[in-house]
Amino acid sequence: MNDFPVLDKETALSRLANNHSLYNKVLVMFTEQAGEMLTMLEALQQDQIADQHLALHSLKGSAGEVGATRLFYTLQQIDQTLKTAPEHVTADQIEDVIAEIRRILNITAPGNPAA
Amino acid sequence: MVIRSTSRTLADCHVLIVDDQASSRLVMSTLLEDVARCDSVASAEEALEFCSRTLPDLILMDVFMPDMDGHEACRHLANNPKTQHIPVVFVTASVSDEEQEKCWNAGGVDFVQKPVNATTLINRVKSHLAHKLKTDLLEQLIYTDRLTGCFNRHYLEESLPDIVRESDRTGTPLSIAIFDIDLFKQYNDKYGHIEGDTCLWKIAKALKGSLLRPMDRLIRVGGEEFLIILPGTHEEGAQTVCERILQTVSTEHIAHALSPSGFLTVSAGAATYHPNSADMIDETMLAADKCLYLAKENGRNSYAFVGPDGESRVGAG
Repeated sequence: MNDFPVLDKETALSRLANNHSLYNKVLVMFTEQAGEMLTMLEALQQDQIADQHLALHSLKGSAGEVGATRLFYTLQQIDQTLKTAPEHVTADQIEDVIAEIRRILNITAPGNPAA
Repeated sequence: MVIRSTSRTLADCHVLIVDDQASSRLVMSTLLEDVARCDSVASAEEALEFCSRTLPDLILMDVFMPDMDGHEACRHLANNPKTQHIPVVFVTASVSDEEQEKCWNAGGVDFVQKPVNATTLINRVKSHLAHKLKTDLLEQLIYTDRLTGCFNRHYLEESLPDIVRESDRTGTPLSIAIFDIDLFKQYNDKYGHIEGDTCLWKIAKALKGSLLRPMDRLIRVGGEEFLIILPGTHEEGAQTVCERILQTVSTEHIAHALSPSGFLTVSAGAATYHPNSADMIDETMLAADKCLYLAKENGRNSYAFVGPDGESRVGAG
């Protein structure tokens, strides 16, 4: 999983026909969504994770759109598990999501030259 | 004077984007803004509601949505005669074998994987819209009369059973009005066939413009014989339509030297089908035809209709 990039802007942009303005709008929507998810996950009991299936699924979609590849694959695994056996989602997986969102928000934070 | 349908192009097509996620709607509508006209809704329920008002040419449907999912919405559309011909392309994150199977079984025509690739999305949409345009054009060519732009006899045969079923379902009467140009052979002989064709075109245009409601259907059944299907119309309404057919034609003031009035006139006959009774639509058609003959015998430029008591009455415009 760690082989995947945190934010593969180049690939995401090429998928969007190199429309920078569209990418930036989608990135703003994604970081807002990711920020909300972070707050929620930090307060979440592990057995409540199934209630967040839709929100996690949505975040996965946006993560894919902006090229947050690592987060995308982590969420994809959780999404798959939630569809079949929600009780099998592990605390480690949730921790991975939290850590990954922090990493992305750090990169995309205003003032960060990498953003 | 032949009406050519101005062919629609891709840019005239309507695409409906159905996705609960705002960023996905934004991505798809932005990528497609130069291809077609796009509308977006955020749920399957809204999509069904949208389609009950306006029929899009193509639907891009997310699969995983709260409440009703994309597959279920697609099945709803497929079960409704009005929406069953709208092609649905699923936009789905998972393209597992199982997921692909579900998309086809739900009645989808294709699927696009998420996150969407702009080139793939645009080309799939173009290809399905092109297909839709060809199908629409073929249907239009098959079902319309090239001279007048009215529906043709083939359309009457194909659509009448559905229209009758709808009348039975809603429990509302269905009227049939038939009309025929008086002394049209004499008109053609005197003024020539090109002028004769122009007459047919003018009359059809005037009636379409002034008389018909959206659910009414004007059909050219033969040379100078037309038929109007009037859903939700009882005897009184049919009589009014007959009167107005005669009036509409007379206000065109088409000179006809061999007509007693000096102008082109028509005669009309109407009958009404009552759902859930012993009525048969074929008998209604026959009764309307008999009324037309009555009107002709009454000296033309007049109409006859079958009243609520089953008796035929004659009137003039």
